[in-house]
Amino acid sequence: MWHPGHPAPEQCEGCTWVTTQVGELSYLHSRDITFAVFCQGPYDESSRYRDFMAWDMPWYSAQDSLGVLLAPPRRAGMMHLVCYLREGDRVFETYWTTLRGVEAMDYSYALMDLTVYGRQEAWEDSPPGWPQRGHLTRTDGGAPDWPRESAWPGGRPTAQWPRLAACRSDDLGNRP
Amino acid sequence: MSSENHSQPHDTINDTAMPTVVDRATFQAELDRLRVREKAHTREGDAIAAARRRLPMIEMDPAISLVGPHGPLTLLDAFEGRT
Repeated sequence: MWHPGHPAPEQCEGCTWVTTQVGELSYLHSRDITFAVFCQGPYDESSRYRDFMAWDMPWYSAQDSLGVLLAPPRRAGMMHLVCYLREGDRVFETYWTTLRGVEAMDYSYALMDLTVYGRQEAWEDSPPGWPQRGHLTRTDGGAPDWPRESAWPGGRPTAQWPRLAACRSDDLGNRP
Repeated sequence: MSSENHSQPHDTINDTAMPTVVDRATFQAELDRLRVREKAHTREGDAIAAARRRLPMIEMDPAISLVGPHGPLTLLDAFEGRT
């Protein structure tokens, strides 16, 4: 989801988590599949977030069309993956998912699941004594400590920290 | 207190429980048992994807409006010519 008028640290850690892992689009393109982000917020401030995060996938604002693009039972404000089919100048919706369905975009969780301590999240069924650090994908700092995460709006989405370390501007131009 | 919290993740890793150490044959036997479940999971994922490919679909208005780097565009435009 997008938080209009909020600075970069207060943007959604979950959307940031999965979106930042979509990098290579050529394999999708080679199967005639287009990937694009339809951001639920305004174009200007959200595209500056895209630039801060050094993302290069196509980025559009769907703010004015959420009523039809996310018609019930979908809920605007939640992240969704939606699939469409084009035939000439006709467009069809063929699939959608939300919540943990968006893990389809993610490889970090998939790799964590192969490691001995897993995701280290509190809900996981792990042996006694296994580390469980929480579940949020935001931290109070970056490498090397990645200090314990805090609840929104504390800290930042984790992937913002290396961007700041690379001196990228997180100014979204949406603050007085 | 705050400094303890700050360093907790790494201390926790060092002090935390670890799996039982066994010889490779014992380990491989356990992994082989897990692999059976992993293969079943993979095949179930394939079956679910097959069912997904058999869903019906809904026609959308291709003129649904979006905003991009060059201003307004339509849902149809966002396909960039692909299907």
